[in-house]
Amino acid sequence: MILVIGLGHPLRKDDAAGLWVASRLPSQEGVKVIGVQELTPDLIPSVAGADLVVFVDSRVGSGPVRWERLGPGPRPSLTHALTPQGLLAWVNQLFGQAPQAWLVTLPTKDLSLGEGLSPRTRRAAEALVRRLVAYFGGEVDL
Amino acid sequence: MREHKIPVTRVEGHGLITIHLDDRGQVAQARFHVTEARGFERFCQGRTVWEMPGITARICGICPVSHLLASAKAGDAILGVRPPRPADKLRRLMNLGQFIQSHALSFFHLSSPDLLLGWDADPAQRHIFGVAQAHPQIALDGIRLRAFGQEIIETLGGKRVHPAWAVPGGVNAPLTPEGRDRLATKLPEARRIAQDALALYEKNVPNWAEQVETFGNFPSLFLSLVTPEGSWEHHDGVIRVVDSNRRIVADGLLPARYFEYIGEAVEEWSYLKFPYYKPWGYPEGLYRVGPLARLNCCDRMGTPWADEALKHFRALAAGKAVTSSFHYHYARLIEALAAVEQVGTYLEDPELLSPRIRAEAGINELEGVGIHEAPRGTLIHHYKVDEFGVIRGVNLIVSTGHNNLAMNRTVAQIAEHYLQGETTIPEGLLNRLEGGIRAYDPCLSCSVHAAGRLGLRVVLVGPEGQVLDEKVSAP
Repeated sequence: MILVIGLGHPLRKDDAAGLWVASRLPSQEGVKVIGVQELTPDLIPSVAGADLVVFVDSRVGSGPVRWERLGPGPRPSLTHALTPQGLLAWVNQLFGQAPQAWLVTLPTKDLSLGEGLSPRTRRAAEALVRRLVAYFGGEVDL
Repeated sequence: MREHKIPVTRVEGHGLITIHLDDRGQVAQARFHVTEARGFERFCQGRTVWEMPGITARICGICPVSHLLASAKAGDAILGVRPPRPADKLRRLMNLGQFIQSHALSFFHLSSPDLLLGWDADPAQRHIFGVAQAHPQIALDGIRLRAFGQEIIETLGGKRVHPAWAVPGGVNAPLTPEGRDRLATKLPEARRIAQDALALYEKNVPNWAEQVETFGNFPSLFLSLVTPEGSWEHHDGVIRVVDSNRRIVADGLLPARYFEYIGEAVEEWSYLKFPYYKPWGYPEGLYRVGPLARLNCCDRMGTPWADEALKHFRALAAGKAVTSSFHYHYARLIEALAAVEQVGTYLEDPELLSPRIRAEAGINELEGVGIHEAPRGTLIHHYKVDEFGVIRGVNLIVSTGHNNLAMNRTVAQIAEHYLQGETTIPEGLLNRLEGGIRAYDPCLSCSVHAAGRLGLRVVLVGPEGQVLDEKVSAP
């Protein structure tokens, strides 16, 4: 099972890019998509049940969509600041192993209060949606 | 007089304990201070009653549902309507989800490190990660039970935190058949976890005899909602007050007239007010709310397994009120089980799929009170509006406020028992003081509507007012 976790704040414009991607991925067999404002321990069972987890988040700055392989951090992080690595560390500790994971970050231009993505971030988000859909369909590798 | 100051951690919010010593080095006084202020009661003025559920839900990230529902109920009163029956049931279902997730958070995430690893365990290990290492199944159970409660909230409200779902007059979406079926598949596991946690607690009660005796064990009043028939209630009903013998002091009190029997005192050393039962005066009218009070006040839980557990709970005090605040944990677990059982009943009710979920009306009353039970205790929202529904006055009394006098009494009792002439704060005392506060599962952000970091300090102050020692626990 592939788990996609889109992260972001819905009222901070480009910061919502991860949520935007999550909301546009079609649900299909073998794929689970979640949109959240922050990572919480509640996600541990879902992450543990996945073969692959893709965290989609925004980042400060420009550039292309960035892909980074992730592994469990050295120890579970605190619940008020749970990182993808910390979440994987929880899973590793409780289940003995963590799934493969990627952190995909999207460039941002405008993180002010409000809704809607800037053109650049939107283009990057659309390209990521296309790539993930193609991956789900077995057309490309990650 | 000397004073110890101690920070409190693994609670929601920020606070301070000061312990004042007399000339002989004995505890003269102990105070639990809430040191932050926000001001929701003020800045909500000028907004409309329809906005209030969404605004006041932001008071807290742990129990936004409680504020959402109390606010919607106050709005019902101002509109002069009673929500359609499906809406009432849906609100109840969401509140049960809130009970499950919050009680799981309190027991497994915040308190189980003390209960399972020991009060004197290495502080570097005495947290939920330590529990995960020593008892992985229990840690996982806690995560799963909380996730089930959160999923109920998300299924109904569209998101786990701050769902804008309950509105004056009802709710804005029913339960879907898909949501019902998804929750139903997870019900058996939730029930198993709630039962296991309860069994774990009951098995270990003999190991906690000292804490039971000293963590807020004193006679007091208890106050909560009950149904008109006296059963456990969490969203409507009437107010009942019982004493330590479980004798009914007052019953059938109208929630909307709370100001006739609840007073709010102010002390200059805390931003948190001190509610008290008016007929008994201040501070003699100290009462407790929350799980312990709800179980002491009600005649029955109303579900089979929880009623069986209530018998064991009652046996602790031979049918009288259980007066040790340590047993808030016990009561919390019984309520979690009751909540899971009630969720099962609601999921079989076809009325929850009904589209008749909102009563429409304009402004028909210029004042409204909404009371319901948050996981931590009775929650009161009281609004005054003008003819256009614009808020002109707000009074909020939250569960942590109701328990303020009791928490102060608790820290004094713990300090008197564990501090014997020292001029520094022993680590064992620090954690036990925190544990005494933690039993109430206070939400300090909620109680004063505060913004700030987590954590609580403890300061030891000598007879001349000099600081002898100060400790801060990692949040």
